[in-house]
Amino acid sequence: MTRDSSDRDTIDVAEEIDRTARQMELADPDDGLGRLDKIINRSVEAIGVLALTTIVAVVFANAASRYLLNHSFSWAEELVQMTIPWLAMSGVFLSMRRGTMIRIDYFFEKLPAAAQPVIAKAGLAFNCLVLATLAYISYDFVRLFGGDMTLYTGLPVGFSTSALLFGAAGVAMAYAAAFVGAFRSGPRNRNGDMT
Amino acid sequence: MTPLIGAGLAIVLLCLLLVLSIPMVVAIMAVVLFSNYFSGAWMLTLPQTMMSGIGRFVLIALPLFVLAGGLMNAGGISGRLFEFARALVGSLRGGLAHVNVVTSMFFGGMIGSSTADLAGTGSIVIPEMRKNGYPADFSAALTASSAGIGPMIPPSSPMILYSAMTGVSLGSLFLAGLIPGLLLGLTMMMIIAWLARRRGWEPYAIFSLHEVARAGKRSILSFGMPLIIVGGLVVGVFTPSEAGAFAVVYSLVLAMVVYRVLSLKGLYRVLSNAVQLSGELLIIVGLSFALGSALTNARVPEFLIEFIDLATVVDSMYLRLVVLLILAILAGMILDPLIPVLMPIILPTLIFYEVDLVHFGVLMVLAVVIGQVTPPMAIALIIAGKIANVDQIRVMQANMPFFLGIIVFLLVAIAVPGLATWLPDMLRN
Repeated sequence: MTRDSSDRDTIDVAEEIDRTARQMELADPDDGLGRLDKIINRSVEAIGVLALTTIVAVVFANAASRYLLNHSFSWAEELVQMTIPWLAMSGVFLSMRRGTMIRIDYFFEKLPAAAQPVIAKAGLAFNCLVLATLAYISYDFVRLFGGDMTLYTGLPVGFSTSALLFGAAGVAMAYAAAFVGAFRSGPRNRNGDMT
Repeated sequence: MTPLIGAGLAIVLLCLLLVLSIPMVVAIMAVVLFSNYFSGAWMLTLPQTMMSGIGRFVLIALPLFVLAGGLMNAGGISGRLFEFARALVGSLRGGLAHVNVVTSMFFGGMIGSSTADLAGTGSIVIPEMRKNGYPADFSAALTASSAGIGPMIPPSSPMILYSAMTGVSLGSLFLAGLIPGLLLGLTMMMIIAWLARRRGWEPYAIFSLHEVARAGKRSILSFGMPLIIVGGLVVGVFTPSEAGAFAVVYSLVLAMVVYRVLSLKGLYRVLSNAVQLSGELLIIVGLSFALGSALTNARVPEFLIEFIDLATVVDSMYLRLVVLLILAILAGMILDPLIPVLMPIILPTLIFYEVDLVHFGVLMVLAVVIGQVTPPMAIALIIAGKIANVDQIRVMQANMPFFLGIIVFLLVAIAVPGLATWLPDMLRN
């Protein structure tokens, strides 16, 4: 069984690990979805990617500038903190649509088979209701405080808090669509995720 | 309804929703809404607390390290790390099992998430171990347990979450996890050495300094990332978030310029994955602040202190830590990202008993690792068992030596706080 480390066989194992890791990282999670679903996911994905790219660029530029030019941007931290909610809500929306929401499946799978679809549909309605409530509360929050101006960037606070409103409303609508879909053709999976 | 009964009902509701497979984000949200409604609290405190939780600057490190890990993974480091680990320890008895553990330790320094290691490397290493004569259940058990080393070694996602929830310096936490992470790996290697002697497992490769040098040269640039993170934090050049941004830029240059394996399209995919992976965790942190605030108003932490005083008949700090960690392990057995949910409840208790929060942070991450390999959920064992195509019960039985090893290691880490606190104390002074 022992062999020279540079054996073709063992090098192939390393290459195979590389290939698998890269495939997993680069696979398209929306593969096989319909056109409308893809457009929706891609649009939200673009918002999230833009938010993350902005955060990386601002944090890196600020740190580099501080060490190279002895100058830091006063607005950097505030801008990053205002962008984070957009990243977070985009991530939650995509997790819901792509079926990767963190949840416990173990106990659900132990339920009688006949009860599972009923509970799954009730779960979709419940999720929709909770998210819609958050969207409603967030609307009030943005309406009341959204006009306040931030100290350094001079942007309205609503720029960041509206992420909560749009994100919660978006996920609620996605759950509503999944709920309707569950009655039309049965849930695509037990939580109505799109994958 | 008294506030404490209300809080009790809220905790029962949370458990019920989670058992019914309601996503964690929705379950916590529902419980906070329920608590605010019945306690008569202003409903707008929910978005307010969520925004202030998500806005914690240290949390910015989370998406940055997730992105850096994704870039390293897509940049082709996995195979290089495996090759180097094989050159270093493949010649030991039970070589491939040792290689599995050392690869996980290397991975921990780049990725910080056990799932990436388990699903990526595990899907190839488990079949390779079977091909080399290791039992399938053992191969799955070892891969699941060794993947747990990752969260101990910086950059670590659970540590970022712990830091955000407690306000403890992330730099100190990263440094504090380093020695226990390496020792945990060594503990597993000692168990493998013992099993290999008993079961007659052979070496995987012949040791050669030339091969160590060749594989080391091929993988040396990958180790630049942990050097940037740990070095930057030790010297005080970076804040943790800045270390994350530099790690992203470094891994980007490595994947796109040096190794030339990542296209712009691939980069966009990695960015999207990082958004999806970190977004939900960020919202869980924000919601956990709101949940913690609701439970604190209901005086749950005071109740917990009374409970611990009752549960620990002897006045001993170690015993209190054990009770708190048993709670954490029990929660971790059911739920993976337990730190944001538990910490707001536990933190006042830790402060009351004057527990060293850096030490407890390392213990808490160990509790997460143990929760991942403890029935009934044992998510890591389930994933590894599926890869190996082995029954879950058999994997759990085969995992027993490693499980006991980690438990003993946790007890040692409780009794010897210096394992965690010595390095950050020494370097910070």
